[in-house]
Amino acid sequence: MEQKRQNTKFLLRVENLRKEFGGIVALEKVSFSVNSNLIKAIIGPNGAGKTTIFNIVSGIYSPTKGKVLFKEERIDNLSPHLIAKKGISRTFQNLQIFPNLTVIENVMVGCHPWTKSGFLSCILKTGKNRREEKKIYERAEELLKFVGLAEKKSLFPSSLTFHQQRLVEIARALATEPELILLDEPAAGLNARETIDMAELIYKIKEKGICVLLVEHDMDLVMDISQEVVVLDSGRVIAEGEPESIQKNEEVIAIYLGEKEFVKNKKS
Amino acid sequence: MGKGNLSGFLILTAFILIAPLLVRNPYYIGILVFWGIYTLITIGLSLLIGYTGQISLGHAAFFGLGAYTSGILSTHFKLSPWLGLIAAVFIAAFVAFIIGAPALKLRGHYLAMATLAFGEIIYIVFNQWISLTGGPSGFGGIPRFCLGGFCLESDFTYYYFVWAIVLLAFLASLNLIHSRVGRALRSIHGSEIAANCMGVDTSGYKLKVFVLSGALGGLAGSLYAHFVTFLSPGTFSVMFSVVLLTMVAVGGMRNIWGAITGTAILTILPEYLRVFQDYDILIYGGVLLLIMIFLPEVLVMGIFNLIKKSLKKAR
Repeated sequence: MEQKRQNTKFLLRVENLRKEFGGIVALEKVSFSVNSNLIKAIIGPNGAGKTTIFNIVSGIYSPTKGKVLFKEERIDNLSPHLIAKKGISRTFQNLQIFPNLTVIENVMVGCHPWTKSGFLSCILKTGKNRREEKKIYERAEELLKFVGLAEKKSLFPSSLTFHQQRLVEIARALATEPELILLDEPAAGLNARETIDMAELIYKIKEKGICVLLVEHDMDLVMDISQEVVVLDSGRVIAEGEPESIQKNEEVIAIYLGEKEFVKNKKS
Repeated sequence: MGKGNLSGFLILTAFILIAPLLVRNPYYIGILVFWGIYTLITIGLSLLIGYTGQISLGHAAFFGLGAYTSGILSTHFKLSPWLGLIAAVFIAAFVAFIIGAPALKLRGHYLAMATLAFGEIIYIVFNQWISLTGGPSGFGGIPRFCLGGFCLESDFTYYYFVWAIVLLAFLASLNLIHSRVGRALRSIHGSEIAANCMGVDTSGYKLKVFVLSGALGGLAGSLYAHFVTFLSPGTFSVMFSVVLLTMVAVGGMRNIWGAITGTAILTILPEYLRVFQDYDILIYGGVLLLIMIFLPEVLVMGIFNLIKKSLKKAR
């Protein structure tokens, strides 16, 4: 038991990450780690490099320098589909739903990493293929129930609300059976009620034993649900710790007060 | 495969079975054979373009590669046309693999340009490799398919032979679309990045579906060669690639049924427009324009819905 805990101590570790786009340095010396079975948030002002970290961890970008380790195994420079297979899944800030697939088909695509049927068995509809197809369908149904969209399964995403489309993306990400899920601004564009629902859902995901790493602007949501917070500013980590200590950190306050004031002004 | 698709497929099969009995005129049966041969290519194109979202402007080349491979092997080398058919499929698939591996890294217009160039190169090879292809004037005397003592000489028997293959390919594609692989292909069209992050090997799938569509083109080419028994490069020009693309577009890109109807319209319509003599091309263009404006994407669905409505009324 003790040893198992040791092994899974760091589910994800990011070491000395650097990412350049042309001449622009988006990330520099970014290091942090994520323990299993917790909710961790990455916060920071716009352009701090939060989504860039997600894109590197999920394999869309490869880092200019540095390492990404998942369960002590290097995953930088692996392509996204292989990373998905290893147990990392994600959602997208600007929704990347499949508009040409029904809601349940969207989620069924998520079942890809743990299923096998190839061209031939799909064309011939072998018994094995039918059994697998049934398993995929049932799993997708289960997940739609989990996020509360069971009755929308045969609709196309375009007829869903923004909030519901977000939920489809989360169900789709869960369908890969991940150990770590990256949620990119899950509450962006949601109203107060929906944000509370989202917080509950994120908590429920964690309760399933899936580690959650999220990027979020909604401070209340972040401070409410996460056990650990990393603060990023202009591509560097400036603070890391429990929400309470982050809220007291002066450097963080200095960065955030400005932004909070700005947000307040914009609202009024 | 859904219920609608199954009944649609049965109706199609019934129609294919009785169509030549209604037409009778051998010339028109020939047209129906061409419809079947071209449908094989457009089924592949529909999977590639409509479902996976990868364009190709070079599919006439795969059609040509299949035709020339099968034609040359059975004529110059006296091999059985059946061997030619198998070789045609493999050569087309192999070339699709070689071309697709680098080309499919490109997107949108760039992929269109690359496949267009490929089509042009193959067309030039057909014209210039005179010792093998006979150059611009082509070559004839390609044998027919024979099984035992029975040869597929008449258009009537060839029609059923071709359409048996087309229907099988169509059924296979219907199965494919509504499966794990089909969803993966469609998800690439929807959002390549998201598909990739959900564990779909996007470049692998794109290449496989490109090879599949190339192989279908090669198969169609072999069927063409042993039907027409004469080959010249003109048939396989880039212009024909455009026609193939138009067939898929007119029928409706996003539905495999579109391939079969679009091909029917573009193969059969020009024959009926002959009565307008000099104006046929003008009217042809006009009809295509009207279809694209009033029935975009869903030509088959539009027709289906009309039939459904009238059936309900009849009840």
